[in-house]
Amino acid sequence: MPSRDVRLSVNGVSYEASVEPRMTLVDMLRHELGLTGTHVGCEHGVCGACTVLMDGRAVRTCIMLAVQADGAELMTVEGLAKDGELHPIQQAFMEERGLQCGFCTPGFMMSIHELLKATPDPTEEEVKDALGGAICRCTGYEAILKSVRSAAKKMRP
Amino acid sequence: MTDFLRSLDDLPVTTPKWVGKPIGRVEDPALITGKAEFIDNVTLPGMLHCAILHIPHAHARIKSVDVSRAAALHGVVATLTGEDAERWTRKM
Repeated sequence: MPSRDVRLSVNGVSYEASVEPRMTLVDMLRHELGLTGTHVGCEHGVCGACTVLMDGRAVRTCIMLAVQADGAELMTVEGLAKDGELHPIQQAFMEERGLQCGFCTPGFMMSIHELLKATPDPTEEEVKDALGGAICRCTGYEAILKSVRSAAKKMRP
Repeated sequence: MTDFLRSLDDLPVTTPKWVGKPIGRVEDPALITGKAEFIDNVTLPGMLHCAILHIPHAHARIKSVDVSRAAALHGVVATLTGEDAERWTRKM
């Protein structure tokens, strides 16, 4: 199958890869770039485990093709902590017990990142709406909502 | 009767290390930074991948499975069917 060149930046690092046009963005992240922090859960866009930020917007990378991200700036879970310092969202998840098995957590955190950037003090409804695209099968939703409240508080100036 | 224990004050006093205290989870730092290793991340030398083809008919009787076309595909190492499973497992 003919390959296409895809150039994109992830967490501020530029990457270039030659991929099959049918390759999904999450497969490119995980298999071509070795960024395995972004997870594949349902493979059809309902669980949200593969969520990353593309040019600031939360996208589900299992239902996107890698070629569609050509030229884009991505941010994944690996880009949250800076110089060993955890991001307030990560700190909040640890403190509020917002994770159990941790498989869904990267996707949740990226969705929360998008939410809190646009809405620093979200209402309960706004939080639930923003997290509607993510599923946690350890059923830790209450702790996740607490984590969002705590993260929002930490991030407000 | 219990003259060896006269009152609670006679019980030994310790400083509990774990009881009644919140314990931080040791696995969290790896999980929240994307560094935790899940099975899907593991690549072993010579590792193969499998795809499962489910029967497209609900409540049907399988009379035979013809895997010849699948087996002939480029890169296919093995095709396994219920007959193989039967051969390799003990009858219940």
